[in-house]
Amino acid sequence: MSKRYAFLLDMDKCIGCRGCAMACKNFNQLDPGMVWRQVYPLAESIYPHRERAFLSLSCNHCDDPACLRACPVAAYEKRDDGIVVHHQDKCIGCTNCVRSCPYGAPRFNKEEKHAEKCSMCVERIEAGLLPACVQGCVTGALQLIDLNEFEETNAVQYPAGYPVMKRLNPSTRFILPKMPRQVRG
Amino acid sequence: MSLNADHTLSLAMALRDFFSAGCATEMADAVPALCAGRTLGEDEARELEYEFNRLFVGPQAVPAPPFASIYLEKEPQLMGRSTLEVREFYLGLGLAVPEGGVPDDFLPYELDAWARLFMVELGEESDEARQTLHEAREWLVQEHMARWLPAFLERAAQSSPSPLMADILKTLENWLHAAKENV
Amino acid sequence: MKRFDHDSGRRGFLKGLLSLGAAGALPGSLLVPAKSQAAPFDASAYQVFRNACPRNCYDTCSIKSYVKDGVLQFVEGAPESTYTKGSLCVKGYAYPRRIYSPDRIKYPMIQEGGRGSGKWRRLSWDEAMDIIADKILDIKKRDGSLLGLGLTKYSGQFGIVNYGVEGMMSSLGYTTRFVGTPCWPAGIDAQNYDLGDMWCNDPEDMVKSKYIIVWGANPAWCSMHSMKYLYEAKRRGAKVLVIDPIFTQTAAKADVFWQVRTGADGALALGMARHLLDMGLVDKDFVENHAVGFEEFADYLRKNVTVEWASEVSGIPASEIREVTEEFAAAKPATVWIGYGMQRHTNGGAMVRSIDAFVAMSGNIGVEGGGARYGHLATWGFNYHAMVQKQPEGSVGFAGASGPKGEFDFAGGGSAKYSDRAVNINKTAQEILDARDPELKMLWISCKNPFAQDFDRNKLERAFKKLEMVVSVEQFFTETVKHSDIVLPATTLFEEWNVNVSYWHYWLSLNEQAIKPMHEAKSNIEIAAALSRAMNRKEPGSCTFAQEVDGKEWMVKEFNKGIYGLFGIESWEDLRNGPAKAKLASSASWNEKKFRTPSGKYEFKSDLCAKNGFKALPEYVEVRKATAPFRLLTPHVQYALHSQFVNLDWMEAFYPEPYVFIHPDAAKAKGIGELDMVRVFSSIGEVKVRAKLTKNVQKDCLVMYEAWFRKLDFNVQNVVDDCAADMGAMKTGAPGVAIHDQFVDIERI
Repeated sequence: MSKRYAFLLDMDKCIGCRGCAMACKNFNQLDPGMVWRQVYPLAESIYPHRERAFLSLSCNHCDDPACLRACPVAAYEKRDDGIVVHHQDKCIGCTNCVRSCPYGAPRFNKEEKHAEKCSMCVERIEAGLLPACVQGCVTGALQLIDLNEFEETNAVQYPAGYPVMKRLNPSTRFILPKMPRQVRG
Repeated sequence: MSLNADHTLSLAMALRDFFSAGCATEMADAVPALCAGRTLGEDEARELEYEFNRLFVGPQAVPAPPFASIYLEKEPQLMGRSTLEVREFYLGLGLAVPEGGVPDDFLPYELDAWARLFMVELGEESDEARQTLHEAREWLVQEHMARWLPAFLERAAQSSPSPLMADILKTLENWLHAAKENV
Repeated sequence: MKRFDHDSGRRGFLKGLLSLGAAGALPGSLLVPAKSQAAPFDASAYQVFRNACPRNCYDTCSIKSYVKDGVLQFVEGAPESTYTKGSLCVKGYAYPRRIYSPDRIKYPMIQEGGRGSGKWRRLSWDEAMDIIADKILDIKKRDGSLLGLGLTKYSGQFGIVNYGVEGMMSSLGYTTRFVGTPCWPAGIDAQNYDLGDMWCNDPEDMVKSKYIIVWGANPAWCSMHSMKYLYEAKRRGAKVLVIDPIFTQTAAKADVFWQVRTGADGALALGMARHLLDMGLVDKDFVENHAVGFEEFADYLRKNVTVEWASEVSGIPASEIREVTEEFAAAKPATVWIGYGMQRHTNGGAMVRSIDAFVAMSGNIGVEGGGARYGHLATWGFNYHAMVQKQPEGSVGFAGASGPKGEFDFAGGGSAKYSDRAVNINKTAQEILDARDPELKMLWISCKNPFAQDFDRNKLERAFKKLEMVVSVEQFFTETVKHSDIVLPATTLFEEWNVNVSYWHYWLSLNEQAIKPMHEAKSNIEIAAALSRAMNRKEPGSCTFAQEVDGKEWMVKEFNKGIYGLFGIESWEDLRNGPAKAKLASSASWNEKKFRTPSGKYEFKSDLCAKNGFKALPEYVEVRKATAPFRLLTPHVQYALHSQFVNLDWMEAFYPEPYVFIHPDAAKAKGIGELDMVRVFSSIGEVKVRAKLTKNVQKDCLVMYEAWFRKLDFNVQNVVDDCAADMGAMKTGAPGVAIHDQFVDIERI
């Protein structure tokens, strides 16, 4: 059976350190202001302690990617292994994808006048390595999974604060953060 | 060979000497060629040195580092891709920067490369060889120096240069203009 | 027209001969930068080097550095270390930006027209060393000794070879040393009184723990690589309790969080100890056979401590204290990770002793997965070849022998006729102001940024005015450099040879020179050699330091048979294949229960402690009394290691601005709204910063995370005074500092 690569974010392990985002910049040498992965603190309405639980998000490598549908020049490719690759050389910078992705994964690079996004470090995966962000996660919160083999029953597809997009069927899975019992002096 | 070409060449060398200067004396030595024969007293030279270091050297973060990659890389850094591009260019000419930790795209090195190319070109008899040298120089000016020097000049100009420094920067700007015309 | 000289001199930069044939191949191929294709990543396209993060962090990461064309491209964690396990932290991943930052200091320079004038002139290394050597010789002539020359150095750039800075000072004569540590000294002495040494279990064995108390530490920010062991322990069924005045990121990952009143941890531990006693949960074998003084301690507890009292002092309900104490005692093994933040108090050492006693009574000392974990120096047995240097013949110093010059002073004091003059590193400003006979005239600063890290910044500014010459060895233009006369550019870890170990985990990492030094940067030992050349040129025999050094050879000279044996390696070159871990008989420290105390046993009652002016028993000591409405805490943030990293552009993208964190109720009372600009002030100074409202902090506490921002004048040391902690003098030469016993007020501006 073929693989279906996806990110798993165990929010119960994520400490919001930004190591994943920095590892991405370190390896992919992104332009200033460009981030393919970003760490967002959860709103206090979702997790009641300020800046203590996080969503680390990049491209969700959807089953039916909105970016791919919106792209007029076929710059997007959905690979058999689930990875959605953006081919910058084909991109004409129309920003259709940027506007169509509800997760804000493709970003417009104003300098280069093209869109760009996370490709799950496909060149590393092909060399038998983990994506830079996954390797860079010190706590093991961010993992690479094969959805075809994934059997974690705690995992959810749509945590609070993350848009529900059934048609796109984003591949990222999440384990929700817990809270300690608190005794305040 | 025009006088203009001669002048452009000597300016390149004086600018090189100025921007590579490590002390007031070396700066003062370069100034006459850059500012219509002007000579500096000791105090003036010392003030120029402090200003030079404030703008280009440090130790504090400087507004206008004299390295191409600061302006050509998407994120300002030393030893960027553009630095290695220049290194390759020098190598193609059979040249290299001296041992040490100064990046290849340091302004004086680039001026030096330009001057060398131009000088050899002026003395070259073969049309074919001249054409090759000309193309190399054209790349250096049009495709490289002209892409970063305006930003460098702009940043220096915005950092309250003294009238003397402004003159020198103007000379660099004029040289760039002449070098672009001249190719 | 000037003649163009191809071959020689400063003017002919580009060496070599112009080759027309080669020039023919020039322009076309260079014009278009190659587009990156999704070709598989090929590690063989890089030169890979081994590095060791030298930033004095628990984690001391083993780094793999990828170099192409002589340029460091990117870094990653060494996969061979089970501790680093392939990942660095957010700071480590920013390293490439640090080396190639345009802001780095490039040349030796001198500031003319007074410190702060901004009138900097470039010096050649020889000129710089001549000026410095002249000054040193001048001091020696005027004073008859070099005690007027001071060294302040700490952990900004660790690595065993960098103890060559201390070596350089010794090679000049007897000097004044700022000794001690702002970091962890009170706890070190406390553990020495109780156990005879500071020696923690292998942190990787926390997975075996059934109950983990993280007490006053925030590993999620300050020891990120340890979090995976906490998680694994939890997965195996362990319970994790975090005790902290702040609801930290680590607290958010715990099963239980106790928000203790600041400085009341000792009372809490004693209350827990009393409950162990009351419930008959004391490990009889341990207290009877492996400890002394337990009966006296038990007596103290019965007479002076109740759970209700501990609850009142700490703010933790008595029922909680009882429940957790019973759970901790029932879980075998159980452990406490004692954080350094917790001992930065006027009663810090006493509090650590109380916690040690609680762990000891519960029978968890010397047990795998157990332990009162604080730190260790068990893997630091190097030669200290660079550090140990002889004073020149006839050197005169401070009469009598000296004590330790810090926790890493493995050379020891000795019984020479003369010694260095030791002054307290935690009172830099006061010591400079107070130094007499002779006065401090010159200060050498390396691996340290006193204006960002030393206490009472305004006093420091006054103190520096007394100094005739200040020399800083630095990588960036810090506030300290601004207050210096001469700055010397220092290499980064990627530009020098070194070797490094941790005070927490048990791995040993090689640090290879991965790239040539940028600009004119030199390593500390190269600087020492250059100074030695200048000194000996001017006055033969005035400096004993080698005049030529080879970084790699000096790194090799730090190794010995003991290190090779401990780590099970044949040669340092084995470390090129990856870091090595110490071969431990047990993951537990004190596994043979042979303690290094005078009695050879765990000492609930320490006569040595009493002799040094404290209580013999781990009794309750009240914390410093408040002098202003709010207690101020200034701990670390994950983006910085003290004053390092936040000045880098990549880090600014994630952490552009500091804040003061204040409880919403306190903010309301003060009329402060979210993101309002406020003034945090005390009698010694003020900080202007924006406020963030959060219940993560207590109502009577303010929190500001210390960091140095290149574009802001934010400095928490404006409002942190130099009040001493209780302990630390015995093992580190000076007491610690009460960083978290600071009091301020706040107002909107």
